[in-house]
Amino acid sequence: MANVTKNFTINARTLLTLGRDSVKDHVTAILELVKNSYDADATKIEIDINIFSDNPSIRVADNGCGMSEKQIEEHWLRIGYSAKRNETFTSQFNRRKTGEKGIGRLSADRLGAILCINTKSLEEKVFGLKINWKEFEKEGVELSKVPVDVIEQPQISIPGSDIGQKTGTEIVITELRHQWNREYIINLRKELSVLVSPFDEVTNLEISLNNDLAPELNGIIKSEFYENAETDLTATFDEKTQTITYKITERLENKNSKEGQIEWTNISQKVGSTSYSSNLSKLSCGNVTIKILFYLRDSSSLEGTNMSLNQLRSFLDSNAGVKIYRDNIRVKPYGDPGSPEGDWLELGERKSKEPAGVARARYRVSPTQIIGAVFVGRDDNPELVDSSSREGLIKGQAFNDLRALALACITLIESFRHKNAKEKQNIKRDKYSAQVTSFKDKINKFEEKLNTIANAVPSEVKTEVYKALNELEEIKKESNVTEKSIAQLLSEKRVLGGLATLGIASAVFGHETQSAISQFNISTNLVAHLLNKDPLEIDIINEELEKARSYARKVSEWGAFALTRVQREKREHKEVYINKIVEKVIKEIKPIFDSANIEIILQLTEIKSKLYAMDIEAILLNLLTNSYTACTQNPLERKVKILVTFVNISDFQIIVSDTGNGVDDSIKEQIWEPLFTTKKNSEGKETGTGLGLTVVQSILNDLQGSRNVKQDDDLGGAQFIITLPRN
Amino acid sequence: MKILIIDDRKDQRESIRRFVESEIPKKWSVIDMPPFEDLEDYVSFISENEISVILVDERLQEQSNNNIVVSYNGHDFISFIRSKLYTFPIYVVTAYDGDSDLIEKFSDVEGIINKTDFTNDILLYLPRIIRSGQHFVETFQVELDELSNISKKIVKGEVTADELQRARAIQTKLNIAFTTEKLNEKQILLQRLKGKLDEFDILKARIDKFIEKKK
Repeated sequence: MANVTKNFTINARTLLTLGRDSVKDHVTAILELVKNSYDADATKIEIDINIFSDNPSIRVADNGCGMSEKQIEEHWLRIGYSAKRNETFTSQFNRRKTGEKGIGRLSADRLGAILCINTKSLEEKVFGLKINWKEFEKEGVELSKVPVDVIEQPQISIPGSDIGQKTGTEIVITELRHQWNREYIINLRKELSVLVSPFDEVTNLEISLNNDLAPELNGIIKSEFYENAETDLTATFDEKTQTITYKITERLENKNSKEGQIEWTNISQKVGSTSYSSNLSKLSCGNVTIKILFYLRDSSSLEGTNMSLNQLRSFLDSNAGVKIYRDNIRVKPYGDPGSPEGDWLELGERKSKEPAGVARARYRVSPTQIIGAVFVGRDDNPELVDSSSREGLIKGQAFNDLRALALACITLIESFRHKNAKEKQNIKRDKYSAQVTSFKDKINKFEEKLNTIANAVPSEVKTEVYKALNELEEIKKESNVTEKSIAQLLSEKRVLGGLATLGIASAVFGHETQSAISQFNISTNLVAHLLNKDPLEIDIINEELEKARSYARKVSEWGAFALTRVQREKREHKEVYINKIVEKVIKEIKPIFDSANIEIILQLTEIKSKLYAMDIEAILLNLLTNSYTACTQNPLERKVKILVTFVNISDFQIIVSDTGNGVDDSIKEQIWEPLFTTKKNSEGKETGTGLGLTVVQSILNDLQGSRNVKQDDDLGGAQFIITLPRN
Repeated sequence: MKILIIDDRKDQRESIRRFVESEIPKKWSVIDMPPFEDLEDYVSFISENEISVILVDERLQEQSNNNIVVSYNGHDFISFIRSKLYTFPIYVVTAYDGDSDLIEKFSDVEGIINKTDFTNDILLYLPRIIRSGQHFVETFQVELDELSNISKKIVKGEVTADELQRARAIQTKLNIAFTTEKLNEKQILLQRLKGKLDEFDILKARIDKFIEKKK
C-alpha cells in the first residue's frame, strides 16, 4: 500500500512578509535591486525616481547579463533561490556578490504595488513579467495559485544600448507606497557610493541617479570615500630613467605631503624576498602609473564625514585590493578578493609574517586596508602580455617587474607611515623621559668615540683614555639612578596634582556637602523634637527621616568621590577609554551640578589611548569646577558641555564649555599662572584658589599637550580646548 | 501674626517651618517660600500677608525654584528691606553664619543664627523671634489707634496743633513703612481725608456764619 502523503502549502501573504521583513526601509529596497544589477556584472546602472509625474515610478535598469525565460522561471520566480549561495563571485568581473540571498527581489514590494521586469539575455529575446503585489495580500490564497502576468510585447530600455549594449534588466515599479523626500535621496546616494571605485579612471561600474525630487543630486555616483584615505600615494615610473616619482599625502595631518623621486636601484632592496623574482637593477615593465589609497578600518577615518563605520567597511570589502587596469579596463583577477591570484602582491602573507604595528620598522599594511590601481597600457607596456588562459597576464619578467614596482610603492607608504608614527611617538613621551634618553644617547656616542680613540692612541695616552671611560661608566650609572628618581618624582607630582585637584574641587563643591550635613542635622533634630510631642506626627517624622537618609547618602557619595580620585590604578600608565573616564567623573559629579540647576551636555567619541587616568580626571575636574563657578554666576541659563573628539589619528581633544561670563582676551594667558583667579565675591574680593588651571597646565607640559580658550559660539561662555597626543 | 521663612532650598525651609510650627503660640502661623526674583515684591507681600518677622537664609542663589535662580543673597535682602522697612524684625538663619558679607550686616538684623544651633536649641531662639514680631505689631497698632483718635478730633474740630502735628508724624511714619501702590492708595486716602477735613472746616465756617447772621 502506498504511503499517504500531505504537502505543505504557503499562504501568498508569506511572500510579502518575507520581502517586507528582509529590508529595513524603501531606500534599502532600491539598494537590493541595485546590488542585483551589480551582481549581474552590469557596468551601467540607472536609477530613476519620478515622484511628481502623473504616474509616479521607480526604475532600476542595468546592462548586466540579463535573464532568459527559463532563468526567470527557475531562478527569479523560485522563492529562496539564490545563485549567490554557491557562487560568491560574479562570472565576468569576479565581483564579490553583494545582494541579499534569495529574497532581495521580494523587497521591491516595499517600493510599490506593481512591478514590471523586462530582461534580455544574450541568446534570447526580451522577456517580461508584471507582478501585482496586491494579489498576494488576499486571504487564504495559496502562493502557487497567484498568477503572474507575462507581458505580451515586452519592451526594454538598456543603459548604454546606444553604444551596443545588448543584455540587461529593467525593473519599473509603480503605485509607489512611500513618501519620498530629499533626505531619502541623500541616503540612497551615500549607500550607492559604497559600490563604486574611488578612482575616476576606473570605468567598470557607473551608477547614475535621476530624480525629480532633488534634481541637484542627479548624476553619476562618485565614491564618498576617496577623500577619506588615511594616506594616499600617486607614483609614476619612467622606464628610461628607472625612477619612481611619487607624492604621498596624509589626510588629517594638515594634509602633509611628501614628494620625491627615487631610483629603482635604491628601493629594490627594500621590496623584500617574494615568490617571484624581479630584476634588481632594471625594471622592464614599461611606464606605469600607480595609485594607492590606505585606509584605517576604524572610526578615526570617518572624521569630517557623515558616513558610518559599516559603510566604510562595506566600501573596503567591495573595493580593497590592488587591481591592474590596462587602458582603463580591469585585468582580472588581480585585486579580486577570494581569488587565489587576487592578492598578487602577497600582501596578506607579508602581513602575517610581519604583524608588527606602525611604530615598528618592519610594519606592513594589511590587504584589507589598501585600494590600489596599477595603470598600464598596450602601448606603454608591450611586454605585459595576456595569458592564453581565460584571464591574467603571462608571468614573465615584465609581470614580475610590475609586481616589484607595485610593492615598492607599498613600501613607500609603509615607510612614510612608520616614520610619522615614530616622530609622534618621540614627541609623545613625556619631556623629561625624552631629555634623559637624549642625554643617555649622547653619553653612549661619547663612549663610542672614546673607545675609538683608545684604540688609536699611543699606550701612554691610552691609560688616560681608559680612566675617562671608567668615569663615563660611573656617570652612566648615576644617570640611571637619576632616571629612576625622575620617574618617581613624576609619579609623586601626579599624585600631588590629583590631591590638589581634589582640594580645589572640595573648595568649590564642598558647600553642597555642608548643606547636606546641615539638612541631615536639621531633619534629625526635628525628628528628635517631634518624638517628644503628643500626639506624634508620624507622617512628618517619616518624611524627615527619609530626608536625613537621603542627605546622608549624598555626603557618603562625596566621600567616595574624594577617595577614588587617587586610587592606585589611576596612577598606572595603561590603555584607557577617554570617553569612559569622562562618563564616570560626570556621573559622580552630576548630583552637585543638578542641585545648582546646571545642565550637563555630553558629546563623547570613543577614543582609546595609553596614559594615566588620573591626568585626564585632573584636567577634567579642574575645568568643571571652573565651569561650575562660572555657571552659578549666571542665574538665567546654566549649561556645561563636554566634548571628546579626535583631532586626527594622533591627537584628541577634551573641550569644556559653559554659559558663564567667558574669559576676557586680556587675561587669556594669565589664567594659567599660579594664584591668578577671576573668582570674586559680591564685593570684589578674590575667593578662588588660582591653582586649578595651573594644575592643568602642569599636566599638559608633562604630556606634550596644548590648550586654548575662547568664547563658545553656542553657549556663549568660555570654551576650554585641551589637545592631547594619543598613544 | 505670621513668621515668614525665606530659603532657596525647599527641604531646609520645610524642615525649619515644621520646627517653628511645633512651638509657636496659637495666634501665630508660619509661611515658607523661596526667594522672590524681584526684591520689590517683598514689601507688598509683607504688608498684605501681615508678616511680623522674617527668618531668611544667607545663600539664596544655590538652588533654582521654578527655574529661577535669584541674583541676590541674604545680606542684599537685608539692605533692601532696611531701606523700606526700617524697624521690621529680621533674623538670618544660615549654615554660613561666619560669612564676612553677612557679618557686616550684623547691626541691621535682630540676630544671625547658625541653622544647626537653631534646630538644636529652638526653645532658646523662638521666644526671642516671637517677641520681636509681637513688638513690631504692637508698636504699629498703637500708632494706628492714635491716628484714628486724632482723626476723630479733627472732624469734631477739637484737635490741637500738637495733635495735628502728631497725626502728620504718624502719617509720615506710615508712609515710609509702606511705600507701595497700596500704600500710595493710603497716601491718596489720607489726602482725601485731609481734603474732607478742610471741607468740613469750610462748612463749619459757613454754618457758624449762618448761625451768626440769624442771631
